[in-house]
Amino acid sequence: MSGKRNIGASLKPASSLKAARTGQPILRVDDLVVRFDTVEGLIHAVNGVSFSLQPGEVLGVVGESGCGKSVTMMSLIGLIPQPPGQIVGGQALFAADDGPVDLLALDRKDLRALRGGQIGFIFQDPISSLNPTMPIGRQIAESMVEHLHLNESEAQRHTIALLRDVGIADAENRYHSYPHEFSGGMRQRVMIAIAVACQPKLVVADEPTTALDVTVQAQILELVRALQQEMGMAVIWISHDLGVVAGLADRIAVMYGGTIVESGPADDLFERPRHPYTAGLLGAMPSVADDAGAEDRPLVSIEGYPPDLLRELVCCPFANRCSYAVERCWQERPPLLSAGRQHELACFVDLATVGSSGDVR
Amino acid sequence: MTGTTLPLEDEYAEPTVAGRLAYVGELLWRDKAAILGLVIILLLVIAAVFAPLLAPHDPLAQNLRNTKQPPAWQEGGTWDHVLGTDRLGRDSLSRIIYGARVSITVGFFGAALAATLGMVAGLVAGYLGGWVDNVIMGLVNLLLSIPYLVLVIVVAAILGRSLLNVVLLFGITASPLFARVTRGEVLRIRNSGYVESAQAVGAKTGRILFDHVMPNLIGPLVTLATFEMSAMIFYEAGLGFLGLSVPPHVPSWGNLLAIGRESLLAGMPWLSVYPGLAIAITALGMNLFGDWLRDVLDPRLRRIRR
Amino acid sequence: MQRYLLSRLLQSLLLMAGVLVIVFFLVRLTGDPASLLINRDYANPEQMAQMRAAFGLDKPTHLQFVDYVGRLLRGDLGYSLRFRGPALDVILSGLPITVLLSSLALLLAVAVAVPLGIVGGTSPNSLVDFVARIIGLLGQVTPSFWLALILIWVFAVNLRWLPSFGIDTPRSYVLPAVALSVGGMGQLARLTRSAVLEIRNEDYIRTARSKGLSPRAIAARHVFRNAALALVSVIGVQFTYALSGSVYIETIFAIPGMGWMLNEAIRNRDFVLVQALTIFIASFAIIMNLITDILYAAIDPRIRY
Repeated sequence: MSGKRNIGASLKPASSLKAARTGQPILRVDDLVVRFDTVEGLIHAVNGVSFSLQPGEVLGVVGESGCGKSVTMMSLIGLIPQPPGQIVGGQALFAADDGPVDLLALDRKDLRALRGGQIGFIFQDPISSLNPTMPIGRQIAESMVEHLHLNESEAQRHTIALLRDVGIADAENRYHSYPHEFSGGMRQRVMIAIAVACQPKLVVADEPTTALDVTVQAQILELVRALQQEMGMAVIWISHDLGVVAGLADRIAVMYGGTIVESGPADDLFERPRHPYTAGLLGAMPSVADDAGAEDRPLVSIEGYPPDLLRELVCCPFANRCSYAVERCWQERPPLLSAGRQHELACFVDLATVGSSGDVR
Repeated sequence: MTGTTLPLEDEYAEPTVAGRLAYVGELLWRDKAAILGLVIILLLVIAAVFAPLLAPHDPLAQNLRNTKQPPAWQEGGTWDHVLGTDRLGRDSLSRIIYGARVSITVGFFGAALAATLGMVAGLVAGYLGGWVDNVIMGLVNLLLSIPYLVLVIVVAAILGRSLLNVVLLFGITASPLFARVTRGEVLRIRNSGYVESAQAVGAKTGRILFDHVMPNLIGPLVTLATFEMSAMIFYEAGLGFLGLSVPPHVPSWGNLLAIGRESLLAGMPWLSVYPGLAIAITALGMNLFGDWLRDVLDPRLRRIRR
Repeated sequence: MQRYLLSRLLQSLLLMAGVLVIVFFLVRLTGDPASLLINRDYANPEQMAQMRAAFGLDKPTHLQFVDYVGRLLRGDLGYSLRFRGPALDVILSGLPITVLLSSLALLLAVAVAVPLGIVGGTSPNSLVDFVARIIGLLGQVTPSFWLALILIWVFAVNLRWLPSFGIDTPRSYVLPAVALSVGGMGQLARLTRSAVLEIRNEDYIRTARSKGLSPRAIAARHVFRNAALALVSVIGVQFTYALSGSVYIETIFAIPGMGWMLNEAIRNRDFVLVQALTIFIASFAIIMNLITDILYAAIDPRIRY
């Protein structure tokens, strides 16, 4: 990992634990803009996303499909295909082992050194995300060989131990099994093992439970929580399902139309959503925080369609579906501003000032 | 995952025919190779239809005083016979232009016949299922298991040389491909849940299949037909080369090439070069256009950017 | 696995039986097989009758079929009038030549097309890819018999580097093999390219990238193995493709293989040999397919029966 540039002299190189105490974020993304140049036209997938993540923190990123949540995270570590994808602007400071770096400014080789080593990725569909013709053990081990510079037999030993850690029985023999010989849940455990193989400081989990059935979902959630606490890594958990992230995330960011519309501590956000879209999501969902006095209320779906990303975002992306929309919402984009302790909001209305929640339309 | 377009409400409106055509036209314009292919095909059709107007000479007219003349740009060539003459003094260019007629006829009618036969067989097999399906698909697999060139050579040898026979030959031997595609589509629709949900509303199975299968079939069948047309033109030339296609006096590209080896050894390479070039350019045009057609008509194969 | 092998074997036998039936009736569809067996112009009615009796053609068709199958099972493919010998012996004399020629052509096709396709698929829309695609396309649209003529004109007639006919020296195989390889080369190049391209878009390649592997490691460990699987499944088809293409090439270069024999048999209306060759080549193709499937099952871990 030579030739890494130090960006921002004010950011001191620091270990993650130290950073945690000093409140230094492990990842800080500023104004990320990503577009896709397709035959249909320019798709404005991510339109100025900013957030930060503390070491050991679990951030839930929530939004319906197509809102740019996966693209955001994948573009950070260079996993979107370029072309057609292009990162138009922004900065992403990552507190790497030997100093902070801007992920978006790194050259391919340096980024590769971080990927899989200090940043792990868990994908949605474990069957298509594993190489069908390679034994799963080798798929995990190759990451260790690459980043920890282990030899084959050491990597194999570590992998077998890791397989046990992620709950795969008979690990010695299963090392040599192929993906199709596992059940969906077991495959996702393999996927998780790949992501954490090198004890990363940050794991991005892109809807890792969506393709699984409900009982297995719970086990996977439990596993990630346990690993997260054990290894002390930060986790970004992407989901279209508020219920999934509810019990896991410390903080939640809600995305819509390629922007973050609201973010805040999980409890806070669930109890007092301040963006009409967040409120709509909560209203469209079978009661999450049922202890929080959510009595029998009808499920309300949000009417209308998400914005056409072929057009540049010039107003609030939610304006056309929002019953609170005022004239200003159509004229300019509301910026994401601090709205109380650890709470950020991009809305001209702010439900906290309007009153009722969970009642859009 | 990424880059999906999210339509607004008004974009769910049914597109007009003109709108669709404009869209297809735009897609075509983006693919210059496909345009080249289309231009080649159009030129070929024009050559075939207007052969008597375009050909400078009668393709069968012999001129024993002007034999073995090389192309115009070579020593001894004249612009009267641009691509030279053969050993009987017949004009090469005219014979190649007339040859397009045989190729187009065989390609078009052969593919049309194969598509029709194959579609009927595939619909019957897929719709009736059971032993009918087994018999039809058994036959299909059987015909496909014999190397195609050997099959057409043997059948052509048995049928004898005539244009009708060649069309029949290709129409029949290529039909299994179309049958297989059709049956696959019927089964896919059958298993897709459309049928059950439509049955629940009280529609008849045959009607449902027909309504859902036909629109889905057009794309794959037209694409296959384009490629098969190109293949048939290729194989017809091959048969002609072996002396098994249209009667020897008919100027077809294959027949022109049949004397290729002798012409070479007699120092008349132009008699082999240009008919072969005509075959290659035709196949090129149809392949380029076919590739594009497959991308457009088979949405399952479409990607964001190739 | 064993059950799969057995069912696949059975299926192949069934296909071969079907080929027998088809070929038998195809030849009889033309009318009186006796008139195909000898030249009617030179035979009087008595001779024709003798002929029918000699070949059992006076019996009802289904009994003829039984006879014919019985003889086939005894390895008797009939007597070739053109080559004046048992059809089986005639075919066996041509078989090694054709197999050698087809193998050379296939080898050449693979050697050129696979690297081209890999480079093209790995860096799509690059200059190398453009060249690879052009070559792939040209290979597909160039008639092999025409290319053979051009090669003869250039390398045999004008440059006098290589022989234009026969198989007297190893050098004799160069031009025929090149001409025969061209179609398969085009197809293989396009196939390899699209296989590589498709695999590169697979989710598991994204996973490999998320591990921070170098592009070279990803290509070697994840892309090529899976692309090779796609190629194995078409190699058998490509071989039969070359085998049947030898009809043109062996005819042009006067190479005494099975392809040349088929053409000779047809020209001389030697339908016994035509029948025998068709059955032989079709069976060959069916067996190649069987081998390919078994090979594929053996190397693809996903397939377990």
